[in-house]
Amino acid sequence: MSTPSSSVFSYRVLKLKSSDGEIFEVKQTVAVQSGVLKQMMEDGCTEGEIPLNNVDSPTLAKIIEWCNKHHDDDVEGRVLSQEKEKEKEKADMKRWESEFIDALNRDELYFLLIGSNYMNIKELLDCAAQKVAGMVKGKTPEAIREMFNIQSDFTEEEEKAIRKENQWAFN
Amino acid sequence: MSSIHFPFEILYNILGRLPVKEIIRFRCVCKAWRVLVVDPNFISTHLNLQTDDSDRCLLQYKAGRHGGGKDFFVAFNARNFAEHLNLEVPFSCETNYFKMVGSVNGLLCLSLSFTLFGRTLYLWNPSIWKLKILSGSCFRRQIEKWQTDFAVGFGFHHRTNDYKIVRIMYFTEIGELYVEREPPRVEIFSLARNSWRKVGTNSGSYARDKCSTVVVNGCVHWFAYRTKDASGKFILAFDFDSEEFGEITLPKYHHNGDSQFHGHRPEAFVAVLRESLALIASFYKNRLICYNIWVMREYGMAESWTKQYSIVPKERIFRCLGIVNNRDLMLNAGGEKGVISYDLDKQEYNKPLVFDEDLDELVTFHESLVLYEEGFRLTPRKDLFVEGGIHLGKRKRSVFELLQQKWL
Repeated sequence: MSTPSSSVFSYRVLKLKSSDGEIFEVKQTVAVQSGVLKQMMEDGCTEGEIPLNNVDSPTLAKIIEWCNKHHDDDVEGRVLSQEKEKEKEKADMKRWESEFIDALNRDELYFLLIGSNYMNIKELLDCAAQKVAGMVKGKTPEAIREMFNIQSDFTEEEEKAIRKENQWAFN
Repeated sequence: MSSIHFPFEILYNILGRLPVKEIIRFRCVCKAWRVLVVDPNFISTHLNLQTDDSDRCLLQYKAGRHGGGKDFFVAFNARNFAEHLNLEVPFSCETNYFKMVGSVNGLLCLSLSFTLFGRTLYLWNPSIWKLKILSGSCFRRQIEKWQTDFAVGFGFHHRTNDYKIVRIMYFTEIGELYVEREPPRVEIFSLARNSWRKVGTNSGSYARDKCSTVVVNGCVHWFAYRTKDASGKFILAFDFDSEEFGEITLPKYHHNGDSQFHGHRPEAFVAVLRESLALIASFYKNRLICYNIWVMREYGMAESWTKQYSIVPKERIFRCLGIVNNRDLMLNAGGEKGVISYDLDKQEYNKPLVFDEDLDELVTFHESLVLYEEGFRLTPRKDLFVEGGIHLGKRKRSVFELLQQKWL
């Protein structure tokens, strides 16, 4: 923060309004992690409240927690004296990320996926998708239907045919 | 729990991270999931989401050579060699052994071996048990006049999202070094069109490499000789886009090492390193085979060839197996010493895979869904990577044999 102008910029905040009407204030330098907000800043339309109709307040709070952490611990931006230190920071961040994701229950995780997709925060979206992929792995089709609340739209014969066609995948 | 409907892009992002076996199993979840495996967007999402950890290579080897031997593959991770799985080729051909043309996006291209090389080609996706046999050709072989041999190139064409094979047919006289008696014929196979098509001739050169998957800048490359001047070496390139041939000048790769060592001559082969065209050139120093790796920094610009690495192994290397995963130089130290990988990024050796078999080719490999809708569905006896192989059904077997005989 050496010049007054940059300090003004970094303390400029955006007002994000969740679907249930709660207002969250976020620094611009943090908000750029969202592709959607970044685009809005570039287009100069971030005055007033920004409604995020697909994101409720608990989810938005989680998303902001993630973005703050990734802003503060911006590994690339800092000059680290040693390669080893950099590796360590990366490993610490990985640990923080998995703890962050593991602490969520299933619904929170799903809403986070939808929210990060809507706000276009690629790293968070990928991290959450990886978590869900891990949960899905090894499950039976029946368990998957239950997990994602999907109704099967096959007739009994159709389902049998698919199973027969790919018998090896069911062993 | 509450009902949540994921947009498709999220579903792709989740399911694209799964092994293909899981994706195939989840086809019976609902109708929308059933068609995922044939959606080109999902197939490419799945390919892009394969992480470094799943980067594997596939090593072809022959077992039981002296009694109706067979080809096997072993799949393993190039850096830690941790996990390795055996895989038997689940179909057979009249030469018994296959020659590996190459591997692109989990799709293997094999051919008949030895003198029948190039005639029948096989596209095989071992992860999903799919096989497609390409037995036709646009050209007659003119067997009354000539012997024929082939050079084959296999690659993925990004612009059309298609897998293509280019095949050059050379006419030669039995037992003679290659002299161009008739212009070689060139044809191209497109998986999307499912057909071969003539693209004309290519005079004046002869590809030393019989097969190549060295695809850079949309072109496939072979090490080649000029027919007019036997010492004239260059890299022959075929552009999948314009369907024209080009020439690339080699760097001055000869090294002032010992000129010969135990009868081995220095050799050079084309490769891909970090999406650039590369040349691996061997030389001898202090009784060891060493390698220089040249990289063409700007594609097509001969003056941009740069000698980037000079690798002096600590032990005797029998053969260089090429570069896999864009960065690992794979070396065969032979017998008990096994296969060594040299990480060109970190410039360090990884512990060897000890594998005392008759080694053939080594290619990059990861699972994919390519070819799901095509060709024969092979029926495995047990699992993908097992010893023992599989059987074709009776009806399929007869069609299969018919197809194989067509071009004998």
